[in-house]
Amino acid sequence: MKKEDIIKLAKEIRCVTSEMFIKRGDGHLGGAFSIADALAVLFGNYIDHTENVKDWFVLSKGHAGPSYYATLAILGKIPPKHILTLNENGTLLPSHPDRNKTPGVDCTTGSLGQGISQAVGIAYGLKVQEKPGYVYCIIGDGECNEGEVYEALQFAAHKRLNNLILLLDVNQKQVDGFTKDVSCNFKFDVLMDSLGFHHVRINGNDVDDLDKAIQCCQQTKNMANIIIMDTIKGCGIPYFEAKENPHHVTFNEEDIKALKDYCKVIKEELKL
Amino acid sequence: MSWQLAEDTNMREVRNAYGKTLETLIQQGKPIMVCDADLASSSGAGYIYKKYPDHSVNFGICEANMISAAAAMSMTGLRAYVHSFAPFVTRRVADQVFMSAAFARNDLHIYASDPGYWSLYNGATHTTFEDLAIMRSIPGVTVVAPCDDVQFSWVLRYYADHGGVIYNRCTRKKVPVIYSDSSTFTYGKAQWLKKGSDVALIAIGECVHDALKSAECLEKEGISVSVIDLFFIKPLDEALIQEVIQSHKAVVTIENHNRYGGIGELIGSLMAQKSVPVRLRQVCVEDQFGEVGTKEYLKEKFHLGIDDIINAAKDALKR
Repeated sequence: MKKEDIIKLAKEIRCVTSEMFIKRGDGHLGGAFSIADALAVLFGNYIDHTENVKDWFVLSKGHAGPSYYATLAILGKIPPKHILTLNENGTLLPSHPDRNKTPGVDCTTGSLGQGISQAVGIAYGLKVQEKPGYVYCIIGDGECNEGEVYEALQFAAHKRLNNLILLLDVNQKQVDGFTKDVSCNFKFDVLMDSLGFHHVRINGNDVDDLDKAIQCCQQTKNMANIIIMDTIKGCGIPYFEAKENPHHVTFNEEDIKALKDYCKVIKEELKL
Repeated sequence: MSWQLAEDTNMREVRNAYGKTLETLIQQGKPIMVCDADLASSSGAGYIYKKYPDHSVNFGICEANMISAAAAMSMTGLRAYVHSFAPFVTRRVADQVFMSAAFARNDLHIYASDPGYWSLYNGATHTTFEDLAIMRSIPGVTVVAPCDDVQFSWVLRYYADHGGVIYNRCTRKKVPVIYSDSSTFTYGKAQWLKKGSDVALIAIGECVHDALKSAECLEKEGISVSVIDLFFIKPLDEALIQEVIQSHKAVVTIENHNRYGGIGELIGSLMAQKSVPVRLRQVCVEDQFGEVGTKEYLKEKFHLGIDDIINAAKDALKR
């Protein structure tokens, strides 16, 4: 897709996600919005599900499920009638992705740290069987508190899984505050360098940066890849970007108005 | 085809069966992946890693990653076999087994070696008297405790053909061979090894051999004894157990596991559903931690020996 179409897709992802949140009244808004541009680039330009190739997508930070569902709905994988049923009784769209429940979901995640482990398992399985396809996996910077993440990183680096492209969403905030205050002020470049990763640091809310970074990772011959994405939690709606911590929001009237205003503007702009 | 008792009671190391059976499966062209977390040299499958590099992978001391990654490999068409000492593939990774394997409906065979007192000199930290309780409670997980290498190998072959999440609790060490080499088993079925009418000894794992020895002693005293090798803790062979409950005066369960969440509770809950005047006695660990020691010392310490079984049976038959 052209750059302008990817930008439109990212806006539509945020718009559909907003509608899901408005209907629900609460949600993990911050982390769902910070990765919307990455989802647009990945699903718009890279993830291939044709007959001969299967690329995989693993949302290790499973709480960002709503923007993943919005993406799948826009691409026609999830029937439109389901999209506003997030977390309702009997829904196909649970808070965290469930591969046995939601059409188009590759991998079950939600317990942090396990998505990246599953991603390295899939990448290794493909590699030993000489099967084509990339494994794209988004992990969160808060998720990097989990020890299992480092176990998975060791494995990916040691097995030189160049069919694995990790995208690390550095939005700097987690449930209880800034990641640097809750845990460590991670120097991810240094960390990934020392582990033996091919790493690129970009603006994760810039579709050009994302596109170039993924292309660059696909050229890697014998190293696992990680794209360190500096992002803004709640990116796309300045009202939420400015909030101290929009990780999970139970929306008040002002919040709902901000979401509705955003949807109105985007729908007019995109003629939705 | 079915099971038959072995003619001689040889002692054989279970770990040898692990390597040999997996190698046979690889040679048959099964898409399997043998996984370990820095205990490949202990599992009995160590040589597979050099001989079949495309069918094996060592994760280093990263059990959590091993469980999630190995389970996920099944989505690419592989069936993974993971091994570690029992605590490190149960207590340490309960959530990984729950989410990445069971809830995600991926395939995974977990060989939990040296459960209970089999940790011997590794002591309390490596002793699992609670693993059955943990694994039983995860939906969709099959839980087995083979009593010898014949039964153990059958589980490995069953998983290669059928997948699922299987928790296979078995020592690596030498145990008496109970079944003939050609024996086969049925998923979810217990084996009624000896039929009697006074007391039924229901055992798992190596305790099956102790139950058979106890039965010999009890029979010398004129007590008619059944011995049941439960084998499947989940799914439980409810039909066979109900038949046993209905046809005996007393039941003794024998397990190398804590009372809480073990097979005694399991059988007891079935008995409570039927209005039959049958007494239950449990030979099990009484909510204790393990410690270092020889097998003989530990069995005596935790009251899991043949004398304990005999005493429990006699006590249950007292009127």
